[in-house]
Amino acid sequence: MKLDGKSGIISYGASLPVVMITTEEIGHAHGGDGTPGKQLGVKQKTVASLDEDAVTLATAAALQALTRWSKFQQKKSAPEDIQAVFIGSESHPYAVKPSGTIVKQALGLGHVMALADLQFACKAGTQALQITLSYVQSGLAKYGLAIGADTAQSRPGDILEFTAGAGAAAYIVGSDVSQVIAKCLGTVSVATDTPDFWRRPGQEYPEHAGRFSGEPGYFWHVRTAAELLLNELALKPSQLDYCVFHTPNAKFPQAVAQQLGFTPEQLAPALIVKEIGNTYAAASPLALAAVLDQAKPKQKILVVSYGSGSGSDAFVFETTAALTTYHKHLSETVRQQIERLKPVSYQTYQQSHAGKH
Amino acid sequence: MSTNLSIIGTSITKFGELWEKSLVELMTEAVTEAVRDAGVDPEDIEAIFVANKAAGSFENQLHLNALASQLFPHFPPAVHIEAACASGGAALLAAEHALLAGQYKTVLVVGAEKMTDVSAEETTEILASAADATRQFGSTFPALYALVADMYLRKHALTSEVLATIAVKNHRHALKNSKAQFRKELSLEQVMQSAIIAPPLRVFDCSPISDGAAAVVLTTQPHKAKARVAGAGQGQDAMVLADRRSLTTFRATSTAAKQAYQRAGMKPADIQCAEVHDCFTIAELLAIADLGFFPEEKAGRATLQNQTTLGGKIIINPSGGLKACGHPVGATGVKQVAYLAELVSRGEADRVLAHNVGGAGSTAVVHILEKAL
Amino acid sequence: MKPAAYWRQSKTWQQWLGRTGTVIASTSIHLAPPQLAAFVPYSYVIVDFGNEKMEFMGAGQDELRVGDEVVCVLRKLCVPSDEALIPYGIKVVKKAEA
Repeated sequence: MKLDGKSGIISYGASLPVVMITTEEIGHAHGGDGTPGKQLGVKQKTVASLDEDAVTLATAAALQALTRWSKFQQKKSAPEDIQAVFIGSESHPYAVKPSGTIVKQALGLGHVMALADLQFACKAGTQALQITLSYVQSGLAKYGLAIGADTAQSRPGDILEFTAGAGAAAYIVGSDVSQVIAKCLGTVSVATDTPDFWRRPGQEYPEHAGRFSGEPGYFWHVRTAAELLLNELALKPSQLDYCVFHTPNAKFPQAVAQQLGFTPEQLAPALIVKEIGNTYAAASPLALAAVLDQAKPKQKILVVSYGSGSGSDAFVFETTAALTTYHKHLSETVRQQIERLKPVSYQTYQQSHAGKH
Repeated sequence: MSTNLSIIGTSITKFGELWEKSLVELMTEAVTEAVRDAGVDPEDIEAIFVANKAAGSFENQLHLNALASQLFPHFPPAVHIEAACASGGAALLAAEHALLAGQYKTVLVVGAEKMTDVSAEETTEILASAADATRQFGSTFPALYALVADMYLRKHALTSEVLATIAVKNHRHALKNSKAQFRKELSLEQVMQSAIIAPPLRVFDCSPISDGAAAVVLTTQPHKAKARVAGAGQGQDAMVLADRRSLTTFRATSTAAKQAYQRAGMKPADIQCAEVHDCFTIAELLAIADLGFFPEEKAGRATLQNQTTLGGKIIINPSGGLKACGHPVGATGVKQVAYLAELVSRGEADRVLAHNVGGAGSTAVVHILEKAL
Repeated sequence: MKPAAYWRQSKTWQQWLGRTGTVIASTSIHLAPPQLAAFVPYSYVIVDFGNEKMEFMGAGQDELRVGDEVVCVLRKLCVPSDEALIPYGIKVVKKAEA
C-alpha cells in the first residue's frame, strides 16, 4: 500500500547486551572448529545476562528512543502522548501477561493506551512497526511505540546455537512533519502457512525444518513482499540507497539482495548479523537502526523482514532533512554498542545466558 | 539514676549449633537458672520481657510471650520485644522502664534464638529482614556492613588486617568463656584467607549462626545483687545506608551512649571493659569510637596496638563478643548484660558497658552497669 | 514477590530509569538468599546521584568499583520459579564511555 508519506519514524533506539560469544568458541565447544560460523557468515553473537530478557532489552531500547526524542525536540517529550505500544518477540517472558505493559510502566507512559504483544517469529518486531504506523496514520494515536526484542533460544549443539542472539530496537512513530526523520512511503505484507520453524508451548527450544526454511520460506516471502512493494511504488533497486533484509545469518540476505538486484554496498550497513547474530524479532529493526545511524537526508531504504511460519513485512522509508539535526543527539549508536561487546567463554555463556526466555 | 535497678540473677546457656535443644528448651533453661541464681521464688517474678528477633521466620512461632509466661505457675504478664539484633537491649529497656515506673518490683528478661535448623542461605534471607526490602532489595546483612567497611578502610587508609585483628582477639578472649560457641584460637592468616562473603568481609569477619539463650532478673527491691544498672539509652538511624549522614560512624550508637553516660553520671574514660556488638569485625571498629573510647581516626591503630585487650586501655569483648561467643540474635543483648553483671560480681571490674545494635546500625541500645551498692 | 508489592514497587521504576550517578561504596555478594543464588556474585553499591544517594544491586556480572559512573536500568531482580510473577526492578550498570 502506498502511503502519503506523512507518518514515519520520529525517533529510534537500540539495545544490545554487553557480552558476546564467538562462533569459533561455540564450534570448539561442539567438538569442531570455526567452520560453521564461517559458513553462516557470522563471527559472534550477543549473549544476554541472567537478569536480562526481552522486556529489559526492550525497555533499554525504548528509553534510548525516548531520550533522543526529548533532546531532538529540545523539550521534554510528553510520554502521555504515546498512546499505542506494540511489541514483537519470540521470547516474551509470559505466555499470558504482556511484555508491553512492563516496558511502558518503566518508561512512565500514560495509561490511555492501545497495547498488545505480537508473535510471528522474526517478523514480530516489524509487524509491530507496521501496526503502529497504521495507528498514527489513521489518527488513532498521535504517537506510537513499536519494539522488536528477543533473547533468542537455541538447543545446545544445534546449528541455531551459532546465531541465536539477543537485542532490541524501538521506534517512536508520529506524523508531525517537523519531527519525522524517516517517512514511510509505503508498506506491504505477505503471509502463508509455511511450517519452517516452530515452538510448542512448554518447549524450551524451537524445532526447525532444515533446507525447507530456504526457498519456500525465507526467499519466496522476502522476494514476493519486496517485489510487490517496489512495483506499487514504481521504484527500482537502483533508485534506493539501502536495503535491509532479515538476517538469520549473513548468507541469506546477501543472496536475496542479489536476486532482487541490489548491490553489496546497498546491503552492507545492514549486515550487523556478522557481529551480533540473529536477534530474531529485533533483527530487521536493529539492522534498520544501524542504517539510520549513518544515513543522510533524502535517502530511500527498503526493509523486508521474514518471520517463519511464514510471512514478510516490507517498508520503504525515505529520510528527511530533520535527520541531520536528529543525528546531532546520537550517542551509543549500534556500532558503538557492537564495539564494546566483550567475549565470554562457552562455560560462562551456558551458565549466564538467558537461553530460557 | 535515682531508683536502684539491681541485677540479682543471671544465666547464659551454651551458645552454638545445639541440635538437641529447641527454642522453648533454651528459653526454659535460661529462665530456670536465672530465677534460681537470683534466689527468689518463681511467684516473685511479676512480669517477663522476651527478646527474640525471628522465631516467626525460623519456625513460625510468634507468641513467645505466652510460651515464657507458662513456664511459671502464676502465669505472669509477658511481652515479646523485637528490635532486630537489638531485641535483647530493647527488652531490657522495656523491663527497666516498667520497674522505674513502679509498675513492677521484680521482673525477668529472657532473650533466645534458635537459628541452626535452616540452611545458611535461608538464614541469610531471614536476617536480611533487618533491612528495608523495598529500598535495599538484593542486600544481605554482611553486604551492608561490607559497604561500611569499604568506606571506613578507605577513609582511614587501613587494610583488612585491622578487621582480622579483632577476630583473632575475640577468639582469644573466648578461650576463658565456657559458654562460647568457639573456643579455638584463630590466626591472622586464617582470617584473611577465609572465604569471601562480601568484600572486604570474609567468613571469619562474621559472627556465626548460633542457638542460645540468656536471662536476667531485675529488681528495685533490696536484695543481694550482682550489679546495678547505672544508666541506659537508645538511639536510631536511617535503615538505608544511603540515607545516613555518615557511613563510618553509627549515630544510633553515639546517641544511645550519650544518654547512658548522662544517666549514669559517667564518661567513656570511666568504663573498664565493654561488650560491644561485633556482629561483623568492622562493627567493633566503629563501636569503640562511637562509644567514646577512642577518636575515630585512632580506633584502627588502637586495635592494631592491642589497646582493646588485656593490658590495653580498655578490654573490649572480654567474653569473646558475638564473633567467638556466637550470636543467637535475640539472646545477645541479654547475654552481654548477664555476662558483665557476673564479671562485676566477681570483682573483675566496677564500671562496664554493653552495646547492642539492630540492623546495620539502625537501632542501638547501651547499658552501663556498676558494682552493686 | 506478591502481586500487590510488585505493583506498588513498579510505580517507582520510572523515577530511576536512565538516571546516572557515581558509586561511592561498593561490595559484592557471595552468599545470598536462595532466590538470588543464581546471580552470585553480584555487586551491591551505594550510588550518589547528586541530590540523593541510593543502594542498588549491580546488573548482570558487572563488577562495580568506587568512582564508577553508573546508570539505572530495568532488570530482573531475581530468577523466579517457573510459575511465579517475574520481579523486575532497578539495578545499575557501568555507564558506557562516550
